[in-house]
Amino acid sequence: MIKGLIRKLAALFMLLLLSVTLSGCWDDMPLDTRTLVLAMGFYPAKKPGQITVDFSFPTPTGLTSSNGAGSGGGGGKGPSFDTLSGTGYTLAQAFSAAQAKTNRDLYLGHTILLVFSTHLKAHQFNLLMNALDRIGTLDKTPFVAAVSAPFSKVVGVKMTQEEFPALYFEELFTCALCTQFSLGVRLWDASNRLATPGVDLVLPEITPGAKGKGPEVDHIALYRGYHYVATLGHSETTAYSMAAGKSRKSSLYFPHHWHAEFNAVSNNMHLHVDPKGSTVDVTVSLHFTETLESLDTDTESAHQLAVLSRVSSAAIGRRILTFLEKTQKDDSDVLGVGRQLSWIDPTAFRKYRPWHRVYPHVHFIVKTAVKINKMGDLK
Amino acid sequence: MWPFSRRRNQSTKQKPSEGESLSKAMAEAAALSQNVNTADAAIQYTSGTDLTLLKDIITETSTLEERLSAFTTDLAGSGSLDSFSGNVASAYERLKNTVGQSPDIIIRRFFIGTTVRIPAVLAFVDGLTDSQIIDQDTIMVSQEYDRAYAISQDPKRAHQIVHDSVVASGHLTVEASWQKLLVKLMGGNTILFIEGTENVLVVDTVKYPARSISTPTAERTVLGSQEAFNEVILTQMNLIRMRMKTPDLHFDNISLGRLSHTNVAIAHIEGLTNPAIVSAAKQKLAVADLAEVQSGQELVPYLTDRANTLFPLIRRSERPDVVARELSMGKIAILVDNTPFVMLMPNTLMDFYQTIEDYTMNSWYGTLERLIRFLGLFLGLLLPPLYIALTSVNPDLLPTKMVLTIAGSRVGLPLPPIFEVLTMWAIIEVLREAALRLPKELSNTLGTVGAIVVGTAIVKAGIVSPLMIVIITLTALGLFTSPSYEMAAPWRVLFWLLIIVSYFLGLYGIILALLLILGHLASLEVFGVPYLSPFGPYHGRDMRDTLVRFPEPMMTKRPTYLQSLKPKKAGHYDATPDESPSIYQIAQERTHD
Amino acid sequence: MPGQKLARISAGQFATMITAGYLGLGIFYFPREAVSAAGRGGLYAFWLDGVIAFVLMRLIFQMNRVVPHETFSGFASDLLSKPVGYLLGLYTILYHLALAVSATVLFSMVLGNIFLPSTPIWAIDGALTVTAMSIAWGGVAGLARTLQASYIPLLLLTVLSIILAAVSIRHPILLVPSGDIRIAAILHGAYRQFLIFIGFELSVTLYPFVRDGDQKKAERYSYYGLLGIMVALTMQYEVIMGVFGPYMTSQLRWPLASTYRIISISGFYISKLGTLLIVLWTIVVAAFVSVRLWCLAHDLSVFLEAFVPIRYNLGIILMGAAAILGTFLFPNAKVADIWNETWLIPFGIGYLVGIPLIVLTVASIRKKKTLHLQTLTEDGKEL
Repeated sequence: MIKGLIRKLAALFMLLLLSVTLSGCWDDMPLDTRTLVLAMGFYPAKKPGQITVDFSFPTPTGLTSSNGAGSGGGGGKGPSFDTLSGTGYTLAQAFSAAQAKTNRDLYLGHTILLVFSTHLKAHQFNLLMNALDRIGTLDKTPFVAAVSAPFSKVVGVKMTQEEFPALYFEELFTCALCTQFSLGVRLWDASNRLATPGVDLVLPEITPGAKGKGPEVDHIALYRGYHYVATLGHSETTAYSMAAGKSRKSSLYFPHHWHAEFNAVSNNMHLHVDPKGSTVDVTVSLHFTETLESLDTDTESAHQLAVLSRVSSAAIGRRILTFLEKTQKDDSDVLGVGRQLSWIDPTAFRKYRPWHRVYPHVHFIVKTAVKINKMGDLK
Repeated sequence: MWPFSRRRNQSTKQKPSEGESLSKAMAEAAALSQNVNTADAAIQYTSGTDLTLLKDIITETSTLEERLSAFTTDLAGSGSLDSFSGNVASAYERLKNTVGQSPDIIIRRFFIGTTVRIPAVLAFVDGLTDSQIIDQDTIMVSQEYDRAYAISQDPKRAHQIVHDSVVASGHLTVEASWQKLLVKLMGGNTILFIEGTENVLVVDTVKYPARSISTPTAERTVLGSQEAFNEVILTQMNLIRMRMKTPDLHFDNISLGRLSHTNVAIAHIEGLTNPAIVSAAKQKLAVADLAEVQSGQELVPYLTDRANTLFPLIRRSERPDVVARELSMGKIAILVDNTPFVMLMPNTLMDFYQTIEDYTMNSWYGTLERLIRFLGLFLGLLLPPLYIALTSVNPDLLPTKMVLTIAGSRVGLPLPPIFEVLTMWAIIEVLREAALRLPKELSNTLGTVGAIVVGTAIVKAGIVSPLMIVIITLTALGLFTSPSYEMAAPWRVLFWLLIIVSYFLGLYGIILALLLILGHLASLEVFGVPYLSPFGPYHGRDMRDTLVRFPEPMMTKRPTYLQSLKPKKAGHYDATPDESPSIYQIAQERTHD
Repeated sequence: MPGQKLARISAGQFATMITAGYLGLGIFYFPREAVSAAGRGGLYAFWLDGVIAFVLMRLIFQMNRVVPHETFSGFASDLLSKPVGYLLGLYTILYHLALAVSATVLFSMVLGNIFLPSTPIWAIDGALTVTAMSIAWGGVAGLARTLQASYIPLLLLTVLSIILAAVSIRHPILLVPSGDIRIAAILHGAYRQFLIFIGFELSVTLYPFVRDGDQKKAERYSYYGLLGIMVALTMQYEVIMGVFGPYMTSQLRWPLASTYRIISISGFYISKLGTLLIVLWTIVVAAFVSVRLWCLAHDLSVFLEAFVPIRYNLGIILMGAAAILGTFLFPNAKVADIWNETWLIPFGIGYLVGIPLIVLTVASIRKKKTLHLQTLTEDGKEL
């Protein structure tokens, strides 16, 4: 009697299991039923107040060609990636609008690049960041970048080096030694900077390259809170990367001093803040190491090295100071002076509220020390 | 078993009536036999029907009659049905009519002595006995015995004289009970009845048809001993004793099986093995009431409390060196006649992952081997569930590039990963089972053909992805890196549990299932020894022979969980020149070169 | 347990179970509460919690020693009069149940949010509770062994995770202890952060199961366990602060989970190793719940002994079912937060302080009765 009941129950359970297994359930969704969103772009829509979100994803063609040979179907000619767009007042609305255009699940678990248009309004940017922080499947490790060009010009570009542009940018930002400046900002880092008072967001800006060339990343976009302030050119970006201690492969050239050229300039930075009455003294100490790459004399002398060290340190110091003064004009605390103060002396920091009134009047002192560590191979 | 044995225990008072009833029965049997004979003739005369059945009945009845008459002789002579009466003729009859109908039982009458001739009967099983001992050392010397006069003078001591002065065999015992005699006879002994004495001589002529000692097949090693047990328990004991010459090595013999009378021996080292384990094993085996014991597996439920667990609680080994090693650790070994595998217990999970190979090479190699085994277990058990979890439920954990590769390989596939796994697993299992059953020559071919042809074809057909082939191959191989065959079985079952949970709950489900398995393992015990020792309960010192094998000088103690009477296994080895300069003298002299 | 042989555990197992008994609930909030109240001084708040936990642990062990061979629910009614004993027994049961429910709900929400977004919370919760039930099923010995076997690998993983997360530290200056000491804020932070240490009161049930003569050692090991947890969590705290800074930390819902989620290794089979580690924390939570369930089932059978005798395993089933059903009380994570803040902390601290004080006071007054209870149990009365 009981045995029979157990057997019946077991059969029922098996049936149930089988039906559930066959119908798919909960989170079980094989990869081929998901649209793997690799990059997302956030732009203001034409209609005021709305935003457009672009989702870039690999197509089956792209997947099979990146894989060498697929096992079944695919193989046809076609673009290796595609973009879906959705528009709405919020991220969720835009997401739904985009989801309506595809038969697969828009999956954000492998999003590795987020680009924000510099034309976004501050409250839109705020809303977006907030929404992104709350999406569970979205990891907090994607890289964040600013763009002023349309999505199709920066992330929708076919690249020669990488099948998918998003992967190109991920590798670019991940590899600290591969780039001139390590400008990569991850989502958690960005939201951390936005949440913390006394520091402002700096994002690398992706600019479309010249005709036939891929996009470039050698500009930075400055923010004040959620407000976009300005985009800085290559030279100022170099100054920023040095000031922030992120310089990796910069080079310096001194035509008036034996045509000396330094390569692989790298540095670290130490920030010292000292509240003084109504203002704050900020000492930016930078330690550079450089490699002497070329010199027009055959061998270098101790005197030459001393001169070069002094000259380069002065040149860098000047450049950085100019850059910092520019950020003061823009009122964007890129180095996190206020944050540093809040950590060291929270009561003093509380006195300086709001920090954005104080920052333009902060007194910067830049101290640079240069060490020439390598002289090249033969000489 | 002896058909009348139940009456043996009845009180002596009833014996006369027993005798009466017997003679009565005998008379009835004779009458019946007569009647049947007449009837037979009558039927044969009247009809031409087949009469085999009737003839059988007639033979049976006449045998019964003779058997009963032999019983009455015994009963009259010794006062008991079970005892031999001293009458050789009746013994002959009794033997002839009970066991003697089998062609392999030889019963022979002869006379002891040249001048005075004393009747004797011997019986043995042809094929299980050494004919030289019977022919030359028993019959010949008896027939040529020239002082048989002494025996005729004192027939009650006949067995003693024959024992002391006649039979030239090493192992001779005296027995009087028919029941025991017959069991001994069946075991290959020769029983010798002498007229006049109630004591029967049992000559040890046991010589089983046995396989020679061959190389191990289930537990192979490169550098270890190349001997494996055969089916004969005596050889098994010999092989162990060759490796353990201590007089403290004891074999406690038990006979199990109502029909098989299988010899079972519990081996242990007195004064070292925890006596609680030995007595527990004896007690548990004592209650085992079985018809037969063939593989030893029948005894497992009696030896363990949790017989319904998936995991093997008793380790079986065909290697005498493994058994000797485990005995010296403080375990017991159970030897079962006719089974070339000796059962070792109590065990922990870890014991199933140790091989003699780990100890025949240095500790680095041993450690590497162990780690590879656990890697194999990990791959075999977890790779397909992880594949399902990471491609269907939690694809975010994999690197983006790998996800793109996997997604690419899955483009156009009709089946979700879980059915990919199920399909491939079914194919692999069928191939495996078929290869196991087929003759060796065929199975190799089949394995290769199956793996290559089916694998390639199924990928070409677009039913599973190429990655799946890699995964399932690793799985099939991985589970069998386990050195003991029986340990692969539970994982093959649990594999399904993991597949199902990974489908529903992804990685989270896998972790929960592993916790469940761990919880189950932790709850297992054999004779009070926790199965998960030394991990839970944690014993730091015992860890030296688990995932990593330490060098011998660092493993000087026996495992804690066995609670051996002598925890120390080896002496401390002074490896430094300061402590034992004499050992280093030669080395130092050499350095002056 | 009526009709069941009393299993015994070693000192190490006792310490493991006690340690498993408190970490599971507060760990995911750590160190948000302390930091949001005390800023960079949050570390002091946490250390203060550690000291308080140590003192309370001492106190509760002292209480256990009054009748070392009997569980609290067993001797409470004898020592403190029947009504008080029943009341405290009920309190113990309800409180443990609340802790179990809260821990599973919290963890299920963390996991559901980041890991299994489409899976219903009850399924995650149910699977966890059923696993915990099965671990506790075999009684104290099996449970203790499971915990021992699973905690050691977890320990290694925790160290690994701390190292991995430490790579992301952006502001080493935050690792230096702060000079910002505001007593009131630190006390407030300590109070809210104490959730992480609530739970070791299960020693009132567990203590009699320690092998005779091992009690002192068991207590000592528990203190070591506490010290180890303090060290590990201090490291964890430093990493979280070094990565996020105080402002961000106080905004994160589950700082520990967030910290793990930024761990990403390129070029490994599993790049989001941190997410994997969060899933591995299942072990901690399952341990927390299974220890609780064991306690609950035990206390329930003692509590109901006078009315209906129930077996330990039935207790496990009843309490496990109650824990699963309790899940439905929590629609979202914020409710769980509020519940923890307003109920679990005050009642937990009340229990930890109140009960030892009551028992110790009564025991010193009713010396004769205490002595009687001690000898009674030593004579072999079954627990």
